[in-house]
Amino acid sequence: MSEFLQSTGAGLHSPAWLFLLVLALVPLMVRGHAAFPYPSVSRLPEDELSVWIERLWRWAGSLAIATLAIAMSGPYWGEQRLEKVGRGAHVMIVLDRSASMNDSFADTAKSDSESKMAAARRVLQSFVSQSREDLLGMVTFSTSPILVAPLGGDREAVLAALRATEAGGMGFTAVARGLGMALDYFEGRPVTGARAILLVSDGGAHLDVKTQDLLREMFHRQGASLYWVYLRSANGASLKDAPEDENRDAFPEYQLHEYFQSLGVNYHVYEAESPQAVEEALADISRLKNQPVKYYEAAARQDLSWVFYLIALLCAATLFALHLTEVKKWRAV
Amino acid sequence: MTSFTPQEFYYRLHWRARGAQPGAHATRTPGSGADFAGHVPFMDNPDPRRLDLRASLRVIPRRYVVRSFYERGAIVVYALLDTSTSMRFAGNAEKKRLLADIAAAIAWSATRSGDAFSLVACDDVVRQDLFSPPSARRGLAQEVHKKILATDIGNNVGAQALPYATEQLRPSRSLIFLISDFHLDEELLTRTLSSFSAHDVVPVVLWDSSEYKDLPNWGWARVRDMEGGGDRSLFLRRSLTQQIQQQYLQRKDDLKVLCRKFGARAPFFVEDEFDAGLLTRHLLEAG
Repeated sequence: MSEFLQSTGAGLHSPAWLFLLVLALVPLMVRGHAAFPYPSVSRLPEDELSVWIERLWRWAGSLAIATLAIAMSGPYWGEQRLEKVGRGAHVMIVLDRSASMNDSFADTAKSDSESKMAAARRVLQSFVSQSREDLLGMVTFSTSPILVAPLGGDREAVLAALRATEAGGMGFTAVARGLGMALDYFEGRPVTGARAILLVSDGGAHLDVKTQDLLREMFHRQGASLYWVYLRSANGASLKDAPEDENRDAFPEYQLHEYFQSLGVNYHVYEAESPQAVEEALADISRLKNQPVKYYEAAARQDLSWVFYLIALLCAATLFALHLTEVKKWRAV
Repeated sequence: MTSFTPQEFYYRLHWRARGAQPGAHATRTPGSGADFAGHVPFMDNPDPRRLDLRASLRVIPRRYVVRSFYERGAIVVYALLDTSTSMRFAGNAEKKRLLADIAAAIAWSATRSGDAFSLVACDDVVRQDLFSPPSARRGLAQEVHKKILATDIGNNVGAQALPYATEQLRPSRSLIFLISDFHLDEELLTRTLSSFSAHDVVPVVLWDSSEYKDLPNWGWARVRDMEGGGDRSLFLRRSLTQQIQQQYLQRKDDLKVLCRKFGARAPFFVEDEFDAGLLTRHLLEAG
């Protein structure tokens, strides 16, 4: 029984009121109720219906008191923490559309050099069409972020947005605003899967301290992980080797990388120097984000006291009805 | 209270009393009454006024015979009251008041016809405070009436002493009015009637009309036994009230049979009001 109660999450809000249950014995035991004196009840017939009415009267009184006591103790059921496993991830793709994305990769060994944008687009398209259970959204940014597709199951919109990037990039790299916009789309949604921000960018940008704090706070609130696919340009710096102290400012990518590392959220960087590297990076990412996410959801408990109040009300109504049928005067009317 | 006059009824015995007191009833005592007893030789009863010449000519050997007569004598009339708690019942009439009225009427009627009256009351013990020894003095009826009205009927007492009330009675056959509601269990009633079977018992049954006739038509009522017999729930309706009336009618018949079995007279049922005329008719018819 108790296991059953445990599993259904039944419980009492304030069990102290249950002491009033003792009072439920009173109607069963009381003998001092008003009655007409009669010289000899043995002369009267024992009537089945009357006996049952007497029993009904006693039990209705008892039940009314008992249910009131239970109702006052506030029974509920259904409070349980549901363990849910989220399979699909929520991925916001943050795609850099700055002018530098039109350049080719750092690895110039290949003659048919594909532009970084084209490579990213191709790989992202296959990524989008492969991800079955995910919710996807996309934000592109150059000088300012543009919402392309809000977080949702609509892959066609994302694919269309990716195709639209064929128009070529322009402007600067406003990473912070793009990330901020992407993170905004997680706001107020249930965490039913891993949240990931997939930043595809070929360069860094300098973030001031205020923006850094704001972004950090947003990352923490949304609990999103960050994957940065760094498409290294031909003249771009690698993130692997730290630059000299005096020319740190010349490498905003490395500063961004350091900042991301200091975020305190799940952060991975993939430095891609060729289209193949981008594919590998995305394959890696899709594997990572597909790890099932366990999360607990508290199901709202249901207050059951109204049931007991209802029973008590019915019992009281029965008592009142019996009271109305009671003979007030021992006389033929 | 001095001006109170109880109702008077008339009773007659169908047996010859034994008693020396002159009174109105036929006795076995030979004497100067008007009840012809037989012819006796003149020398046994030398009263020339009773000389029966016709009978003297008829007897062989021829001698004078005289008529002899029985004396008319008085008896003691007892009112035996059941003062168990159920007699406190007051429905359409107060049973205690009825007790007082009937006892006073008996006392009045008895003393008016020259008999002595005695009051015995019983609950679980014989009530000595209500006992009044046989007497024919004037004012006895009023005194008895007052005494019964002033008495308290005890709480939660039965009538277990009724069979033992015979110890308070004179051994000679007397007329006893047993006044009770007869809500006694069978065993007690049987013992009571058998202990009084040497006497001439007139059961007077006090039933209130609200006990069985004047019931509420419909509704739920709970009744409590006055002598601690528990509660009973009654959902009164037509069938149940009919059933109750039926049980009381059945009880009436049972009582008649039981009284006949123990040599008592047919019970006289008083409902709400005591009418001495009805009692007279009942007694004369039965006698």
